[in-house]
Amino acid sequence: MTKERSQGQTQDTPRKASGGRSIVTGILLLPVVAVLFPTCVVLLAGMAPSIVAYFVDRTQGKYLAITVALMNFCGNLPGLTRLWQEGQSLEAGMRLAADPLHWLVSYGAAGGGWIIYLTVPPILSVYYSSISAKRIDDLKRKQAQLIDTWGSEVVPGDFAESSEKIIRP
Amino acid sequence: MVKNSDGAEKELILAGRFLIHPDKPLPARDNATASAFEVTDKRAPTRLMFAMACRPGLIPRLDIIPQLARLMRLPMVTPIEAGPVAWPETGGRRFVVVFERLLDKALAGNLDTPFERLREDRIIYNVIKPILPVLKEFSGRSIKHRAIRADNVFYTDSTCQSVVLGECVSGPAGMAQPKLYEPIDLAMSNESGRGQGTLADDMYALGILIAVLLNGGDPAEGMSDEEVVAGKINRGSYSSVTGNLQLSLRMIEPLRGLLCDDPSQRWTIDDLEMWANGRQLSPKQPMLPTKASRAIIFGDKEYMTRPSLSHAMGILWEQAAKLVTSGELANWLRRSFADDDSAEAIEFLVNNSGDGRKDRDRLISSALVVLAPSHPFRYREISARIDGLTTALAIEYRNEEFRNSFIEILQAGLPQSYLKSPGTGRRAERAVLTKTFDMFAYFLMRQRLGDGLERALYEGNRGWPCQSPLIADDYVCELDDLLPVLERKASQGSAKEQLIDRHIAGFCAARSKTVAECIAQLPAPETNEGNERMGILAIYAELHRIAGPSERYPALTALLAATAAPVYEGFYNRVMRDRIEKAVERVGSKGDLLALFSVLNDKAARASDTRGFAQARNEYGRLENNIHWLTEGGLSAPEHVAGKARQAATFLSAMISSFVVLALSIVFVN
Repeated sequence: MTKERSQGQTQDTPRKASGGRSIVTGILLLPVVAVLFPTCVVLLAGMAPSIVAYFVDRTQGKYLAITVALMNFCGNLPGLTRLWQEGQSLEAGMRLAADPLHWLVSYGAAGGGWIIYLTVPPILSVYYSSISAKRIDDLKRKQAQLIDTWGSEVVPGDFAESSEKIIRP
Repeated sequence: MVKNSDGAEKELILAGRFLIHPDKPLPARDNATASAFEVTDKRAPTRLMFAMACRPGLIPRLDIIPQLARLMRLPMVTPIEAGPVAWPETGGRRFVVVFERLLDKALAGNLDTPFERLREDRIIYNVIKPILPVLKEFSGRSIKHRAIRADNVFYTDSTCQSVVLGECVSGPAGMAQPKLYEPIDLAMSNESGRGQGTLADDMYALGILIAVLLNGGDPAEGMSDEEVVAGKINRGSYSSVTGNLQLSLRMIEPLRGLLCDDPSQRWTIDDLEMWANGRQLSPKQPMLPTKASRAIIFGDKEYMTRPSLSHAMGILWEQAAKLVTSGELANWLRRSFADDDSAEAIEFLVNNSGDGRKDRDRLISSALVVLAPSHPFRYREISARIDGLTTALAIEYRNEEFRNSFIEILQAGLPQSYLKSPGTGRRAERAVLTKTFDMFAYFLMRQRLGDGLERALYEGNRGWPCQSPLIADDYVCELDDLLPVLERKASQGSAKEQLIDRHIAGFCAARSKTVAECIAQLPAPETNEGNERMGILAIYAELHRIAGPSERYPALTALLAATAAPVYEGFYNRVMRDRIEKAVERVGSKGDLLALFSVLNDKAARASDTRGFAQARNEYGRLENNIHWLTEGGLSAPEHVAGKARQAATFLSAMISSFVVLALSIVFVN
């Protein structure tokens, strides 16, 4: 019991520390939010896909969230630029929120990030397969050269069977 | 001129000078070991000469030929030249000894042919007196003639006033002597086992010669060899040989002295010379063996003396075992001779003997030594004076039964036991012989190439030619002759890949210590062919060094080079292998065995090759592991790809967003 409790205690400690850091960060950001309230509102609404991605992404390092967030942020930048040009007021913010193009660009960019995240693995898989095949060929060529120079005796007994496969072609 | 097997005429020339005529035989000079033929000296065609061609399988007494060749002034037939000659009629080579030829008329023909009796004075002055200086000279040089007999003493002129002693070198010592001319122990021995003999044996033969000349023929005419020997044993040599002769008092004296059966009591040259010069010596009384108080029955016959029983047991070998093992022999010795020592010795042998055939043979052989120590060594069909055993081995080597018996006696240490027995020779001689037989037993124990019975054969017979089937007909007696003969065989194509066999190895090991060391380093057969070939090459390189490095053997070198593939194929590195192969081909045509060995024995290259091979093997293993990792999806595994893809997607996203931010910044600033 004592052991389990101590383990529970050690697991809770980082959570508590993390929660404490979030509260501190929130308190420090409050003045910024107060000053940039229209920008924060627009940004919070525009970055909704990234927030979803953050919670959906279970991988260590949160690569999906980062990928989507980076693109999503780029999509929000034109809207934010317009907001700032119009004086960063709540009215300008409401107009921007009513603009479907802004949402299309913002969420479309997030969608682009998602697409990047989904399409890279198969492309990389093909790339790695071709790299592997080439490297295997190179290594077998080197082995064949060793056999040419030193004879088939150079193949250690454990690899004799596989070496025959090399010699045959 | 003779025709060889191809029908081509070919001259038989010895030493480039003596033309031998196989078509002109001289039967009067033939003996049991050699045939005589006319010879023409090319430098002096009028000079009368003859040659004795040794019977195949025998060799002349090479050890004494050079010494006798210098004794030209003595009344004896001396050898002028000797050597092997190619003999087209029979194939192979025969050893030929060339002599000066006087008259072909011997004192007598063979023993079966009666002739006119010689008067006593003629025997003394025309026979004994001319022969004495020869025997004296021989005695001074420790040479034994061992061929004194009536058909080997020749008149020098047509008036028959003077004689010369015939040749004695055309065969092993004493081998051509009839049993009549031999003392008891040699008469009991096989012809091949008579050994070098002693001066006393020559004196005995001279005594028999006198008896033959006095009788005008064989004094034991009508008797078989066995009866002659039995007669000598039972009645003593003098009585058995002179029994039918009418002897004057003057002749009784030398005959008793010369035919004394105890060699230590036999007349010497000085005794005979004194008698020939007119001094009177007290006649020796014949020494007869002690008779038993009662006879022993063996093989349906009664025997009263130990020597006669010993002789009979040697002949009826299979029946002798029962006599020994039943205790009958021991009892006879104890009761009839009061010889407890001998009886106990026999009983000891019986008690310590097994029941097998070999045990039985060992028992009989040992029992015969106890029974009659002065008799020759006997074991089954072997009967030889102990110092003649080694010569007997050489002469009888092709007789498998003899070989097996010889192996058995060596394994049982019987010759050494014989030599320990008192009355079997002088102590110094016994020590030398014991050492020799110990050495033989050691060789026999080791059955590797260069040891075994073959090594014993050549160690015990220094002049005996190599009996390898490859060169047996070529009379290779010396190590220097081996390579030229093998070169000839190689050039004729008769020498194949197998250039060394047990005989060649044994022969070489016996003739040279350094070659023996090379042979000892040969690997066991069928372990590593390359090492075996290398070992053979080392032997031939050493033979080349001994024969003289300036000599060249192109055919032999080419043959050895052609068989050297397993040596350079032992190199792992193909480049090095090709380089050595080319070097071998280059050297192989030059006839230099030493260079060939040197090329193949590059120890630095061998070490470098081994080191490089080990590294290459490790490298191969490392590559194989890498291939295995890649094949098993080291790079393309979904987990690996997914991890890398996440990083790549984030990186791509970062790049695009950076580009967009930059572009918007530029637009916004403008």
